Amino acid sequence: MEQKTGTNKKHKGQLGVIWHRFRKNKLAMFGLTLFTLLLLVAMFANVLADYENDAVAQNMKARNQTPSTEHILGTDHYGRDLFARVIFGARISLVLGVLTILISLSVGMIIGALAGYYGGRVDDILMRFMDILMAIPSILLAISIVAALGNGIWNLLMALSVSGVPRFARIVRSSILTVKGQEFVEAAKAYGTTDAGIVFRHVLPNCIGPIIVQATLSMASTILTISSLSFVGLGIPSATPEWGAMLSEAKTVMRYYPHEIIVPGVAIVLSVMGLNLIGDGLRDALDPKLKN
Amino acid sequence: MLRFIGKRLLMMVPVILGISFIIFAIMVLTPGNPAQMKLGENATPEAIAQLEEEMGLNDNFFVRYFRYIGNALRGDFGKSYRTDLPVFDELMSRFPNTLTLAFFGIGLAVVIGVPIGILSAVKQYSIIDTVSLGLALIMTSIPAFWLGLMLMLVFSLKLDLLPAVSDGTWKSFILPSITLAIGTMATLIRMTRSTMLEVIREDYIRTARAKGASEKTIIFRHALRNALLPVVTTIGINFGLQLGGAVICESVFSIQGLGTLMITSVRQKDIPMVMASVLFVALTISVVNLLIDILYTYIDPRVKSQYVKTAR
Amino acid sequence: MAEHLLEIHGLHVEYVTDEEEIIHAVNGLDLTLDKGQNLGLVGETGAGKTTLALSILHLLPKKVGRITQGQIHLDGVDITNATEEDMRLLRGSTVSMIFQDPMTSLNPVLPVGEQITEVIALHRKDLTKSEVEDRLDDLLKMVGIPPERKHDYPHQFSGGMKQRIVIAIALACEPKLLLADEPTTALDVTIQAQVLELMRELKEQIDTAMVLITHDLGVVAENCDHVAIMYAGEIIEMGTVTDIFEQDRHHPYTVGLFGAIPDMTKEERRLHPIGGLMADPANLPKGCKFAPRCPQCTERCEREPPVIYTRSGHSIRCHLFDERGEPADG
Repeated sequence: MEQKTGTNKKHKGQLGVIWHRFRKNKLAMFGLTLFTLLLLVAMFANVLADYENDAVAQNMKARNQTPSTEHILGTDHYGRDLFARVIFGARISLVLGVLTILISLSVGMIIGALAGYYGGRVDDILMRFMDILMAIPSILLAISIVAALGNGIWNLLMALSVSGVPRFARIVRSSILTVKGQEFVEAAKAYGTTDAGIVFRHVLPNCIGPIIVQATLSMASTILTISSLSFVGLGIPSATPEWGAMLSEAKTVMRYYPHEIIVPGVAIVLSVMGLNLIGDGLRDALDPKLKN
Repeated sequence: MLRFIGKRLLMMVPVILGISFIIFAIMVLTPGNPAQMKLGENATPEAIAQLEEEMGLNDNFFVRYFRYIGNALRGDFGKSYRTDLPVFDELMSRFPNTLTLAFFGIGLAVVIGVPIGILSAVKQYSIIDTVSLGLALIMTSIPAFWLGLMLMLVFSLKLDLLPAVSDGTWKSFILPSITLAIGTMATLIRMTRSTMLEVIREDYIRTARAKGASEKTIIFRHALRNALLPVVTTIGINFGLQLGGAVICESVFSIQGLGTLMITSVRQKDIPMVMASVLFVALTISVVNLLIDILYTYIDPRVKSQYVKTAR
Repeated sequence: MAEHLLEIHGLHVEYVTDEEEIIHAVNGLDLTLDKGQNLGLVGETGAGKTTLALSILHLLPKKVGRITQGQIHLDGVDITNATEEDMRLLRGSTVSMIFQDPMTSLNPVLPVGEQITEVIALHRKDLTKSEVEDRLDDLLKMVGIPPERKHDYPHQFSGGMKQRIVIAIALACEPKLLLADEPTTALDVTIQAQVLELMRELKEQIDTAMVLITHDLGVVAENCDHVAIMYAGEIIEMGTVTDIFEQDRHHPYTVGLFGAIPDMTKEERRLHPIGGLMADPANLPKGCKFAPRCPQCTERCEREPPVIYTRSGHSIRCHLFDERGEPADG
């Protein structure tokens, strides 16, 4: 029996259809809510708390306090307000996550476009290289790069970005390959559109969906990697209110003050879950056939 | 069959070379002079120059790379900057711990994840399905090291049932294995469920139904083996992630493995050690993938007949 | 009632899509089939032919397709509300089905021999293991496959050979009714003829009734004694092969199907495309379902659905024919 999907639906435009499907997915909407919350908290962190006084300055008189009206999530080993640290941590995770995705997306896009467009040897060499990068577990790759470049936010950013490149390169490449042979591309060429113009006008709109899905899911795993690296002391230095670094500090006192490891941990779980839910929801909305 | 294994082994060579090349390049491009680092702050320029010469640091990049590979093939990964002992010996003393942890982790993930995935698919849209998908969702979102901490907090520090720090006994592997397993377990639940759902819609399942086969026969005899093919591939891919995860997991539970070695070495700028441990892990992953490919030929007759002549 | 092998009354089948649209796949279908009879079921894609076959077996996709009205009697038993266990006993033994695509109908990871013995073992519990094996060898010989190939896997056979194996599975327990859903459309033309020839031979040996679903009128003419033409989930014309191929009273849709009524001597075998689209099963016309495409459509056709007019076994569902089955306008 043939599929009758959407034959008598009003034309809402593709984005409208995707949003309509996304909105019907309760889990995806929950994810979106979580993520929006995270975004708001990160944006207004400096309104909700003071970075220097609440999140960084040590206050030995108020160490290891359990949640109270004054410190709604309690304080840590150095008397810093956990709520303030968690919300500034959200800012760090989000900024690093977004930057990482932007870097790996741009590099991956260029590599994928070159490989797909020129084909042949260029394609072989570039994609082999991508395969090899994919063969190294991302955390090991990140550790190696941190080892080589040393600690620091920019180095960390590099380390995180590298492992994301192959996935984006693959998406763009395969999209180019499908578009390449088609007549409208030949026509565009005949009109004198440049190669780059063709890539931006015709190829990218074709793969924007998978790219967004991949970006969302990559961001979730990037947030996990950042906190893992910081936890073992290879990421963000521990005085900074970063979730993994907070956990690393709290580890020593967790027997007596479990809230100090619960608070940052829950923050990580919620943000990663939010992003995963959005990613899954978008994938289902973009291609309902892939559902289940 | 031997030819197949030989061919696959040959295919491994460029991958391993590629990985080693990338790692080597990253390490060589490291700012800082290894000779200086080895001799310390107070070394004379002459001593440094001499050591540079001895270490072959002045040679061309490719010469150094191939010398490194040549030595590595003979089991010589250089000496640790920190202890001046051969890197290989240190690696070998720690490798078993990491491998044990990774295998326990993946074993646990398979033993629990695959059956849950099957059940979830068979009972699609039921409570069981919803619960296991929810479980999988939570498991993909939990950072392994945090789960490790929480497990340690509850089972070691509060209930005092299991050791918090590795002491080499099987009991001390329980919490790390669970910690390591959840990520892969989540993937396996979702993967098994979705391939199972796909397979159930195949024509040959309808043929089996048209024969009058019972639901049990259809699931276990007809659907399961077909559904497991992609799952086996997933297990192979996830083994790499397991080893990556082991690095962090070891550090939570203070296990003397490659991961903790790697982290200490990075902190101490012990480049030969970092390089060798990353290479070792990459090599292990390749070997496991080879094993998975061989296993594949036994469960998928379509692959098997390409390589094995069945005697009639 | 008991003298008919298969008797279907007023059958309605619906599918519910993801968008919660209701697809009316079969709409009040009546059909009877006697023992040993061969019925050709003809119609465009989407007419509900496969759905009809799946409804008989109770193999409609779960939670999506369901029988909403009507009865199905098989071999004198009402199976409309039969339990899954009861149906399991019937499937493969009393009624078998051959599916369209032999490439995907066999399980890729099981040797073909096992796939044939499975159905024998399921329904012939009286046979010993070696008797089952003997039966397997006989079946393979019957369908023209060397028995020593029973240990091979489906991918080692060609499409035509796979379909022979599928036929062996279907006929292994000598069913009383065989539902063949376009058994040759996926095959090469030369292989098609061989497979049909084989089916004909085997059917005669074990005296099975058959519903042959097809697009190919030539296949119907050669293999069937009765023909039913299906449109939008209804049978709109039914009769003997002679009625359909040689008489001149036809439903306008049948006329359209043949282009001009074919002369059996001419090579007029293929269906001719008819103008317009197949009726949307989610949104069927109120009156005659063929009305929007019918060249002879009247106002009455759009208003009220026609009933069936039968004369000497040849029935037509159309307002153009009166109660005696004569053309209404002379």
